[in-house]
Amino acid sequence: MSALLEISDLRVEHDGNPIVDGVDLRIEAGEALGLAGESGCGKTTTALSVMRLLPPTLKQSGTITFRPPGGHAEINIGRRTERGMQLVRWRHISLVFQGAMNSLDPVQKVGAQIAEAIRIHERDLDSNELSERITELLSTVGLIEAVAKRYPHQLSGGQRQRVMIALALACNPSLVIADEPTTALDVVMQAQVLELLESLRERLGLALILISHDLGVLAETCDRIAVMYAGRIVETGPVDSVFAHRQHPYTERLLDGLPMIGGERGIATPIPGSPPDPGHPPEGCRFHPRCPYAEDRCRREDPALREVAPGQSSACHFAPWKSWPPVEPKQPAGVER
Amino acid sequence: MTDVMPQTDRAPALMEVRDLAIHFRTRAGTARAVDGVSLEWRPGEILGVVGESGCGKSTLARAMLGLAEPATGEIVLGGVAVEDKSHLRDLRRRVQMIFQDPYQTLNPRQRVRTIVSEPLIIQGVAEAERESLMLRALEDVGLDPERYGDRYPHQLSGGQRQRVAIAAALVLEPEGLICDEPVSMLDASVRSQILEVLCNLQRTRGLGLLFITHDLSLAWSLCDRIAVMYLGRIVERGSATDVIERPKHPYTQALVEAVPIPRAGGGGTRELLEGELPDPTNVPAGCRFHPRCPRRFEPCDQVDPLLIPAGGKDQLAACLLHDPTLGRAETAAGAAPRGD
Repeated sequence: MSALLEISDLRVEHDGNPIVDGVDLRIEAGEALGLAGESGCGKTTTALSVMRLLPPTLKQSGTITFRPPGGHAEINIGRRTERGMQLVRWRHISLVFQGAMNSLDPVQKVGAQIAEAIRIHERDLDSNELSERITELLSTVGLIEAVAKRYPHQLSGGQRQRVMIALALACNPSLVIADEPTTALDVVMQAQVLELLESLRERLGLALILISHDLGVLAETCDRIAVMYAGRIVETGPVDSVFAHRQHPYTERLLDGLPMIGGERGIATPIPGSPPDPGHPPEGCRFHPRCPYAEDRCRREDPALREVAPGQSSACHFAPWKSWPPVEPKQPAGVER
Repeated sequence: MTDVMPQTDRAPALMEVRDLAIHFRTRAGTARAVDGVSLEWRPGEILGVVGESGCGKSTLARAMLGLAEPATGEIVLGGVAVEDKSHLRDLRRRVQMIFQDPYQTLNPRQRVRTIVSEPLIIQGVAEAERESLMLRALEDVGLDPERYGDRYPHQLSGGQRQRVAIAAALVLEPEGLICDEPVSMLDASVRSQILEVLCNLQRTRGLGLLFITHDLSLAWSLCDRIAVMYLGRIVERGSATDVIERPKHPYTQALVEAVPIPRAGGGGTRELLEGELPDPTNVPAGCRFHPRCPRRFEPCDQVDPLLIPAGGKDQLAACLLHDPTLGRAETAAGAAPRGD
């Protein structure tokens, strides 16, 4: 079975320094892939490469193949002309940007903005058909028809985010990339938007790449997850295996640091330091300066991503890990009284 | 609201808010941003105020520093009411605040050492003392003064900037620090570092912390007590474990239910709260939560509930389900507690 989207050996360079350094990813039709990592790890850059929307100062190489469902010819994204890419964007692959709710045009009504997106790919709709499509799209994302006549500032953050999702769906794409779609939202609204994305996936058979720094959000929504660090994927696998049996110290430290209601209170020992500049990563394993388990070999040899459990890969010399040696006890919460 | 904290024989509260209301006049009418809040923040305590954006939690925090004019109610600092401007200087020495975005709160044209020393100048601390206080504050937040003292904010990472903001807040040796979403803009690994700094200060200096946050798991993991706000009111409060693990108000239950769980399988299916926070210019009659409440019953659209005992020790909820005279208490337990 060939994948819907296949990225192989993606590299993105800035001034000759790789900020994404050899990323391989594949997504099947209808699958949800989570891309996790801290800011600067290359997750947004990877997403923008798929849409070929990187700024001209960044040079992209490697192959990205998209296979539209329904037996159409496969598309080599790296080789497309700019004009050719315009036919791919929104029709096949669409993107919900980070902070997207602020990227709506403030002086245009919501309906007009959706109409514009539909017209790009379907020019011959008459105005009745068009307004029907708009109403349909709005109801798909759980908004009433009246929203079409409002301006963005008359909507709440959650409603604007829904409009952005409606825009992304305007041309019936088979893959939606959502970059931190819920970061600016409150828990309740976040849960509503995530539920919407899940139901859309089910109803429309969409494939989804969800980019988030919030591992909880990914655990709830995705089938598979890839954790990025300093421009590389350091761990990938089915969501359940990665959360239950993580195989990379970075994933382990990240998950250990997350408070989980009902578990143990207090603050876990933080990962020391901050992520390296991906253009100038440390020698050997990129995580070694911050890794509590690093040994000599980690300072010298760059570990490759390899399969360590069924479907699960890790870029750690010592994987598979059977258990994680404790780092330091948690700091207790609150005051003794 | 007749919401009086039990007076015991312990030391006076670090700060106390009594029946505070803050109104803003808008074109659409009067917005009741804070609408009758009473809260006690004990010395050295980590107190959490949680709620959705627009619930009034940040306005409450600003009012506690005299940055918003109360319509009614009072703010009491160490047993003495803050009544006029002459108290404000004292208030802002004893209680300080840090904000969500350290990119916006630091003066881009000042060096770190100047930023951290400035509160000392404003409070009239002698020049001879300033240097040593500034150095101590930087060391307490884990920034080497030699290395970072002469840098400008743009030469620092987000986590380092938040450390500078904490140092500047700390340099006057306040008794309390109000933290408005202090880590929500920071990455996971940096987030725990900042929380560790704050909790160490609480432990070593006995600094009281007031956490304003929408992140329930964060509040649960480090607060002693938590107050949940909805549309300008506190709807539930009690110990962090009671309120989050055994919530009694349907709103708190819905909030906890919505938290994504970072483990295999996530949280499974859930009952989600519908709609959004109503407009504070148009607060619903009766219980302000009733239009969204999955468990409302007959009197909820008429009776505005007070905070009454519910569940754990010192746990209060403003919900008629817990009113013994209405006989619904036994059905009020709600969703099973989350987690293992």
